[in-house]
Amino acid sequence: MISKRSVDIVSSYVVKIVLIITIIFLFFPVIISITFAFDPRNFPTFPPIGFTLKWFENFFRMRTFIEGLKWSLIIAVTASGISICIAIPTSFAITRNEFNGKNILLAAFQSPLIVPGVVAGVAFLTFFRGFLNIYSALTNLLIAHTILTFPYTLRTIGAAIAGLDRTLEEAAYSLGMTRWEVIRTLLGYIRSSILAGAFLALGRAMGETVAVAMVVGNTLTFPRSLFDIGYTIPSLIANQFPTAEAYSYMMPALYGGALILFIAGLIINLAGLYWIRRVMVKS
Amino acid sequence: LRLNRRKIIDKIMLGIISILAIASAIPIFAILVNVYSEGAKYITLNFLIDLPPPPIGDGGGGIGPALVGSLILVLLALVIAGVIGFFTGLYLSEFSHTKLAQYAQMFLQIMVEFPTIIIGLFAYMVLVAPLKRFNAMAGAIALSIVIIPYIALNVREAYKSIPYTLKEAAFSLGVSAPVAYLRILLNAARHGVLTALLVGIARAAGETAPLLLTILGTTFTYFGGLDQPINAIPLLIYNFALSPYEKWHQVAWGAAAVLLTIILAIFVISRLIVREVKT
Repeated sequence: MISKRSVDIVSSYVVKIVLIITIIFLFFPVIISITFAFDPRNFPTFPPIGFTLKWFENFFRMRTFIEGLKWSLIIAVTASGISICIAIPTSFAITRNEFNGKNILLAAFQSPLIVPGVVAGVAFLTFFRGFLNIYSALTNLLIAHTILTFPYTLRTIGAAIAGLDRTLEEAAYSLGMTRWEVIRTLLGYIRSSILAGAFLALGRAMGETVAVAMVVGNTLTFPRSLFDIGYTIPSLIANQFPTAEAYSYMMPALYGGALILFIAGLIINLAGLYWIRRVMVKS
Repeated sequence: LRLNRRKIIDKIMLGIISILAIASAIPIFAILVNVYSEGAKYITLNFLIDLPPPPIGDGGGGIGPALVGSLILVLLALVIAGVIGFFTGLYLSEFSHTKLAQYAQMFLQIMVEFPTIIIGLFAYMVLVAPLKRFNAMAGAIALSIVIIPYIALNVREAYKSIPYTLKEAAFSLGVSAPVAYLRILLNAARHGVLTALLVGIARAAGETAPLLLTILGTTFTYFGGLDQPINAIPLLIYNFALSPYEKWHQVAWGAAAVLLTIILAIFVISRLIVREVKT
């Protein structure tokens, strides 16, 4: 009979191996995509045979791609900003008041986390074009991104306000401050959380593909030009991919775009984690 | 006078805050109401079974192939991601002091909100391009990569929430580590683990971006093998909603309502499970 101890030893190795496989399994896509972006062949396979930056040159020479990158950044930053500005008052209103239907409201606020991007995209399509009569892709993208990032900012800021020491507030009121002045003072205490929420929202806004691709590529009107204003990198990849094989430069250029998106996502997410950790250490 | 000015500012600012708070709820409710008011009327039993309709002409048509495809893809992804995610989560919780676990956790947290279209591009290059054919397996693997972080981090929470005394009691029985973790403590963490798997299912069922680049989508076959193209509900919604045909728009609305119902149901179930643990 095998001794328990040897089972222990074997199983501890098995768990470790599974973990390493996981990391490889998860990281593999990223590494492969990176090598493709630098591969000199038009239809790269793994392993790469050389090193080149020409696809990035391609990427940056194509006006469409630059526009995509530019709008990705502008829309993500603006939407996160709006999302933060709405999330702060909303989380104060929710954490400081008890009212009927509060749970339903909270569930509704969290719903963009649950509702699949493609369903939100379909709804956005009619909501914007049929209901609000907005046909500008830029406005639509801003609204869509603000809605999609809202749960992230609300959750981080709401948790921070709920975690504030109540005595701080009482002290402020006892000094004769009005309610607005108290809120303004409390904002200083949750600065880090606001920043963390902003970065999480930014990461989400940069990466969202389907809802965006659906909003920019519409069915009810013809696009005014082939690359209408408001393309973002993920939607560019989604929309250009089906025809990419027809052009020798397109596939690696898309990989270049993916790599840029990847780097942006990595930096934003790491920054978000850093600020969340800072908040955790403090409290 | 100074006090009055402060009071006026107070009223104005509180008014702005209330208005913003109310305004923030409107678009979200609008999405939910919109999908159901447009889509619910198309859902019948035949809608769930039939092949998609031709773009022009009579006949209801349905989303049968997409529903079957979604089931197969989600199941495959769940099997792959469930096993890997579970053991990873277990390791992150019980060996959290090791460097490997710390790096793995940071990595998983980054992957949670990573642009999923990059994962789709990867699956295309590794599993679609070499086989020269869009196939179901590539989609399933892409989906499993998307949901592993969710499952692993939730399983970690489940094992972390087991009281320390219970863990000591389990090990004091003198059983080996696998028995302690997988037979005794899994029982204590089962609700959390189940929730983790449900979150994974919901996420995989709604994910679209990686599927755009991997499974192509079929219209006339339900399932032709794992190396063949397959359809999925999110992909069908995406393709049909962006098509120029009124009829396909209706199918897309119906499919959106079906997908939303499935996902809301999963989340209600997982909420109930969590509540049961708390009481």
